[in-house]
Amino acid sequence: MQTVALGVGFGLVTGAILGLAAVGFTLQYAVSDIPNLAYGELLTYGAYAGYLTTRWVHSFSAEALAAATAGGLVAWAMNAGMIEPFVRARVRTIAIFIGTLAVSQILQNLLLLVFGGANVAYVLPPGALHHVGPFLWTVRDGQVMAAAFVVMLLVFLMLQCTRFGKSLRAVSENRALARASGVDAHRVVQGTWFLAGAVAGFAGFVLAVTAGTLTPSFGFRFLLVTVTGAVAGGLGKPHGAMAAALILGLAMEVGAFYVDAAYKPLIAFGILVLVLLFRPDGLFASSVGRAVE
Amino acid sequence: MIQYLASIATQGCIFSIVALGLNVIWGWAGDLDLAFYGYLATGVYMAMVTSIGRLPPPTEYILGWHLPFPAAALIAIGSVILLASCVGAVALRRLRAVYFAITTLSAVLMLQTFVSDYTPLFNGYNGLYGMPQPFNDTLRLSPEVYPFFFLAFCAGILGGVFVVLERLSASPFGRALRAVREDEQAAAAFGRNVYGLKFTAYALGAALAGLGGALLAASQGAFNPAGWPPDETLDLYVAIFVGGMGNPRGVILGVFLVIVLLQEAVRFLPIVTANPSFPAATGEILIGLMVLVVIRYRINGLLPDLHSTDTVPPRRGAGLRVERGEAVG
Amino acid sequence: MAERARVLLEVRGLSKSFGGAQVVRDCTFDVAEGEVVGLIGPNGAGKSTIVDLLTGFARPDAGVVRFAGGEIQGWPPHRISRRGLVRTFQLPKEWPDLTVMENMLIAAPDEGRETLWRPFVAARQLRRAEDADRERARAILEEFDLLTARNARAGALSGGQKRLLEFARIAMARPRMMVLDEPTGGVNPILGDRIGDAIVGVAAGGGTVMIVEHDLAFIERVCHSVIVMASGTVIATGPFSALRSHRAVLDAYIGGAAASA
Repeated sequence: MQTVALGVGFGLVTGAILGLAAVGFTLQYAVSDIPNLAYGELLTYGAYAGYLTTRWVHSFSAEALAAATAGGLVAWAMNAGMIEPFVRARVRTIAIFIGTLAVSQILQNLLLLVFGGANVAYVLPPGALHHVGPFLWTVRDGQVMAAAFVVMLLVFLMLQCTRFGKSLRAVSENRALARASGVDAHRVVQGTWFLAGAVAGFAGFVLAVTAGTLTPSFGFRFLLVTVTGAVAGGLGKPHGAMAAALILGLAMEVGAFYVDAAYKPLIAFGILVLVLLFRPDGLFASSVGRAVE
Repeated sequence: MIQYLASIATQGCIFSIVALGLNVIWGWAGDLDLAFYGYLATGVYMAMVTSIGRLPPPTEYILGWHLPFPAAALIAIGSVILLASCVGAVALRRLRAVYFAITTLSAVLMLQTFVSDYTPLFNGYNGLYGMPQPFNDTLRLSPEVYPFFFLAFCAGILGGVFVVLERLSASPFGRALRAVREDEQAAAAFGRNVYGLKFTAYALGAALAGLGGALLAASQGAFNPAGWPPDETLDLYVAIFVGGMGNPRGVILGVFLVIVLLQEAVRFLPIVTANPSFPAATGEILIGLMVLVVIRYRINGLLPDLHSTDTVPPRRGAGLRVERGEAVG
Repeated sequence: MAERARVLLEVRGLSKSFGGAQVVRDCTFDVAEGEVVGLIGPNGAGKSTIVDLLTGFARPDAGVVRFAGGEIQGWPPHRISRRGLVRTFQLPKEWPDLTVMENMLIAAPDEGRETLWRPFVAARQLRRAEDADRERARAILEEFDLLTARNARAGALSGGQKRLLEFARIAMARPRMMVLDEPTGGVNPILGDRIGDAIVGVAAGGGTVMIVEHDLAFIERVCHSVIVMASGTVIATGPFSALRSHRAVLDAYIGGAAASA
């Protein structure tokens, strides 16, 4: 029971970070209908921005802010520079999807050009280990979870209570209808991408300081679990993504106690496949029925 | 200089075989498989662990046999077909387009992480080395001559693959596969087992990746999990996009233009920074930009897809025009 | 017909609901061999769903479908098609990037030719079989004035031509029974007559046809009998002339929601 509790403890940390990443991914999908394979790069750029900030100031908030801003700007540029123009040019969805893969490569390699491929150390002192009930956490873990949950709560509140959030939900359900009801879909989409990018940048920063190192491909490697969380939550459902990511994080960390840590991605992949095969609308779908092809 | 040309020509041949495999899956069957490079890598690894014997510790890996190249290559191809069958059985049944792509991408990312972390399999991050030169135990060619032999060998295999694929493309199988790609429901309405056809194409394409992998192992001698998907998979797709989807000739053209020419061209760029990744990174950026251009302007590639043109055999008093074109059998 | 023809298709108690709505309820009817039967009814009666259920594009919740002596409910579409029950679609579903001739060749039953190794074994036999198919395809295309277009991309055909191709393809397939989903939808009357003649020709040759249609004049001309559906169930069957004044049928069409044809 002890080990399971430890696993749950770690799972909550992982799940928190994953939840951030998944919700950003889901928001972008919700308004644009295209899974963004360059999403990992938003985490990477956020992390590098945070890292660069340490040249001038060492403060969690400053670094986090820099990370979020960088992520937001890059995401906004992705949308304005590629996604929207391509959609306007009537490029097929699957082609734009491949395009996001190309953007991912371009962004990774730009970082490679500037920073080189070597691992960059990016450390935030973990602080002392504490026993919080059955869980074992460092001060840093606590900071990370607190920040992550706060951000997720803010996203949730934004979606439910603000006008922007309502417009976002309207656009994600039916863009034409939203437009007809007076919503400036274009603004909403751009704003959403910026917001999702900011969340992603922050998630990248948090992930980097937890892991301790940074490379140009570090965000992309996180894509597998991010996408699994987003798909399991139901592509396009932000609340689902947050919940699913938490479950995923728990599953992976608890699982890692029973099998070799190398198998963690297998757990994620296994969950992804099961969800896609049996509940393709996500774990929290309202109805499981769908027309047979 | 001529050694260098032989070497890049060999690369071209090997990647042509691999790209032709991807063309079966994407160009003919219409499935966006992002796991493809994983099959190539598996082919490389399996060829190596059946050829390099036992390397000194601390290297760890499975098998460690010392088989002659043809046997090693066959085992490599068989393993890849097995792997692809597992992925295909799961992913092709009900998933299409973006979901299929995501699943295959996840599969290959997971595979890469697993191979890197689980050292007992293929020696983890450090990878394997020491692949013997095929047939050279018996031929005993000198290091100056061997590259040309190997080039001829690869070119010969490419030739064989090409002939087989051209025949298949024009055959009822190729036609049925294209129909499935264009409209699955209509294909099913006319009695085609959509899943069966896609699965066959998937296994065939992967087998070619395995074959290419075995050749790549022999050509490079060493291999590790760095620089795996999706960079490399994207390169292959660009080759197909640029050369001409569906058409085997176009694919080969695309490979030589994109993978060979471009990669080599960036080698000659002035080194602007001390960054050793500069040429490779620039090449990848150019390839990424190429993909964006191709999809934005819907470029169908330099060579069009193969179609059969129906010619009417001359009949007495026909009154039907006889059209010029190639009758495809 | 002096003597009762054999029943080719038997449907008993077919039911299907989608997401809580009962779209087809307890449908029962027979189709005899050599018959041309119309399936008519107002919008929303469940006709398209019946077609999907019969041909495997939807799975029934309950009921039995017996075709050519065996039960086929729940089978996947390609298996049902191979049994001899082939359908067309409401909107023409040609294979756009393939040529018209290629569309026809695929429609022909494949007889085990589509394996990986077939092109390399007994190639001459394969070629002869292909050539025979091409002959037959050309003849059919000629009937529909599509012969000169045979090397064109099917996607480049006009709307009317695509409809004709849809029918030419199914003629090429020579199924035991055809199910045509609104074959004259949106075509001009001349084209409609063409298709009607072709259907009559199919029946004369011994084929069985079921047509879902809104054009009642077309149904009257071409069909031996009709099955009338409303609100998901069969309300009447029999020769069209007899049903014109059938109370329930009239209610369904006039009393029911949207007006059809």
